[in-house]
Amino acid sequence: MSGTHGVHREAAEAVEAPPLDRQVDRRSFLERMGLLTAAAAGMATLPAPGAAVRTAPRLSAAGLPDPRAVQETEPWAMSVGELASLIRAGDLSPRELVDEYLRRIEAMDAGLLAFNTVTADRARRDASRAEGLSWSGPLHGIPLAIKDNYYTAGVPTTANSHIFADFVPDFDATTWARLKDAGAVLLGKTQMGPLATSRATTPDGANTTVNAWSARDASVSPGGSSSGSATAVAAGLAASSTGTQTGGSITNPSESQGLTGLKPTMGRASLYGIIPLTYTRDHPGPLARDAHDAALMLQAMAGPDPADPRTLGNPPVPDLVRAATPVRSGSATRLRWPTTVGVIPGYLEAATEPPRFDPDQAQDDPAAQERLRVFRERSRAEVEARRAMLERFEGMGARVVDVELPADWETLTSFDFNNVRLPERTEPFLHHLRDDVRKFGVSLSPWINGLLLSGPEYLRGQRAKMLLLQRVLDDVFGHCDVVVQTSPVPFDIIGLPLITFPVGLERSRGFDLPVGALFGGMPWGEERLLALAAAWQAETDWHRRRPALPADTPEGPDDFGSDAEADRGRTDVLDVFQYGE
Amino acid sequence: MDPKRLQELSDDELDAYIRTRLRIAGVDLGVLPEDDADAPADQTRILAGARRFLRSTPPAILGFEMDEQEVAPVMYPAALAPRMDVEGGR
Repeated sequence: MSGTHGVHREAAEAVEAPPLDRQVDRRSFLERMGLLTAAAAGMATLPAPGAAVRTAPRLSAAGLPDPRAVQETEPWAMSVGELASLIRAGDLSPRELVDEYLRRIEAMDAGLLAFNTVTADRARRDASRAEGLSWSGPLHGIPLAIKDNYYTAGVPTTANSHIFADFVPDFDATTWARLKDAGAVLLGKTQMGPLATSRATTPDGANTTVNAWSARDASVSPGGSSSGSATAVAAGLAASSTGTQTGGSITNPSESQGLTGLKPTMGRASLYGIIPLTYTRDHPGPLARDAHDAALMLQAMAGPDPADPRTLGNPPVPDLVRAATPVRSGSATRLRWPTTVGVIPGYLEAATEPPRFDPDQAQDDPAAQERLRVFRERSRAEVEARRAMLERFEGMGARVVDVELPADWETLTSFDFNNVRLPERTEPFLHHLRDDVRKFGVSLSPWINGLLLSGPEYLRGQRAKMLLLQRVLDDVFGHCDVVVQTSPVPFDIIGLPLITFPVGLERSRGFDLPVGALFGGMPWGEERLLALAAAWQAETDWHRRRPALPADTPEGPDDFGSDAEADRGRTDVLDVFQYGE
Repeated sequence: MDPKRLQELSDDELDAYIRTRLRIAGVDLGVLPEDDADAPADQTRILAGARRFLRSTPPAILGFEMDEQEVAPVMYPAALAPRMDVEGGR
C-alpha cells in the first residue's frame, strides 16, 4: 500500500457523474476521425513561427496529500503531487528542488545520457522567481524534462537529428507553454530517437540513453522514442516529463522504466510547435511517476488550440486530476466508476516469439537465441503479473469479461497497414530529402519508403483505419469500457487513448526490470483510464519502486561502468524501419 | 496484375523502379556510400529496405478490398473548425 496521495473518502453509495467516455456518442468520434484523415493532406508542413495561443487552466489540487503524510524522504524520489504539497505548505522551496535535480543530473547524466540540453541557469532563475510568487497550483515550481521535439523558445530543439541540429525556436509548443503557464520549470530537453523513431541515438545511430533500471548495460532498451524523458523521471533527474507517441513512444519507454505513461485521444492536446512525424497519429502526453501526476500534467497540456484544428470542437477537458484521485470505501479502494474490463484473446498466454521473428535466421545465431530466451522469460513474467492484476481489479469491483477482436484485426493492425503512416512523415520533409538524404542519418529508410506508396494505396490505408476504428468502437467497446492491449500500435492507428502503469518486476540479465500493463480506452476515455490506474496504485507499490542507480550506492557515480563516450552499441538504419517508433 | 505477383519481381527490377521514383521526386541516393555497413545509411541497405517494403506493403493494402460506400473520407467541417462556433473556435 502506498496511500500517500490524498484519498477521497466518499460514501460507497455516493453518486458519481459518469465519465466523458460514456457521454459521447461513439459515432460522432468516428466522423471526427474521418475529418482528420482527410485534413491531413492539406495541413501546413511545419508549424509557422508565432506565439502559441493558449489559456492556462487553473489546476485542481484534488488528491494532493497532507504534507505530513508524505513518506518519501528525498524530494527527487517524490511524485509531483507530493512535491506540490510540500511546496504549497512552505516545507520545500522550488529553488532547493531544482538544485537537487541539477546535482543528480551532474552526478549521473554522463552515464544515463537522458538529456540533450540542461537549462541549469534558466531553471535556477525560474525556480527562484517561483519562490517569490504565491502558490499558483500543483505545477508551481515543479521541474520538468521536455522531449527534444517540443519547441522551447530560445532553447535548442534538435529531435536528435542533423536536420534540426542548429534549430532554436522562437516560440513554445502550445503544450509546453501551458505547462509553463501553470508554473512548471524547464530543467532541460531530453534525448529521443532521431525524429521520434527508434530508441534514443545520435543522429547517426550510436545508442545514447540507457534504461535507468539497467544503467550499466546499454543493451537493455530504455524504450523509444521518448527514451530520455523516461530515464530522467525513472532516475530521479526530473519530477515528470513529456513525450510524443506515434507508435508506442510514450507507453513503451514508460513501461520499460516503471512509469505511468498516458497517450491521450487524438485532438485532446495540441501538436502545434511539435516537430511532426505523422499528422494523423502523433499524440503529446506525459511520462509520469503515477496516475495522479499524469493527470496533473495532461490537465495542463490539454484543451483547444486555434493553431491545431485537431483540438477544436471536442468535448471540454474534464477534471482529470479528480479522476486520478483514488476513492475509498471503508478500508478498501473502489473504482470511481463501474467499469467493465475487456480481455482480448491470448492476453493470459505467454508469447513464444516476438513479432516478425525469423526462426530460420535465428537458428545458427547464438545472440538471436539469447534474445529469444529473454523474450520468452519476460512474456511469462508479464502473463503472471497480468493475471494478478485482473484478479485485483475484480476485487475492486471491476467486471472482467472476454472480448473478441474485430474482424480483420490481424490485417488492419499489421506491419503493412501500420506502414500507411509513412507518406505523412515524408511529405513535410521533402525539401530536406531533395537537398541531401544524409541529413536523415540513421532514420532515412522510412522517409524513403514513404515516397513509394501510391496515392490510392495511401487512401485505401486511411479508409482501412476508419474501418478499424468503427469496428473497435462497435465490436469491442460495445462490450466493455476499457480493454487490455499487448501492443500500442492498434490504438495509435485509430487515435484512441492508452495508459500504461507498472504491475511487477522481472529479474532479467542481472537486473530487476519493470513490467507494465497497457489499457486502451474509448474516445475521451482518459478519465476512466486514470481512475483505473489510480485505484491500482492505491493498492500496490510498484510505481514507488526505484532503480538502484550508481549515484545512490556507496560506490558512487564512478561505478557507472560506462560514460558518455563509451560504446553503447548501434541502432541500424533497417531496424528503424522494421521496428519503428 | 495480381498484387501478389509483385513478389516475383527481381531485385534489379525493383531497384530500377525505386531509383526512378526517387529521381521523379528529386531525391538522390547517390550521395550515400554504395555499401558501407559502418555508415549510418548506405545505398545497399536503403534499397533492401525499400524492396522489402514494396514486396509487402502495397500488395497487402491493395489486397484488402473495401466497398466504395464504406467509410468515405469527409473534408468538412474539420478544416473550418477554427472559424466555426465550436470550443476553441471563433
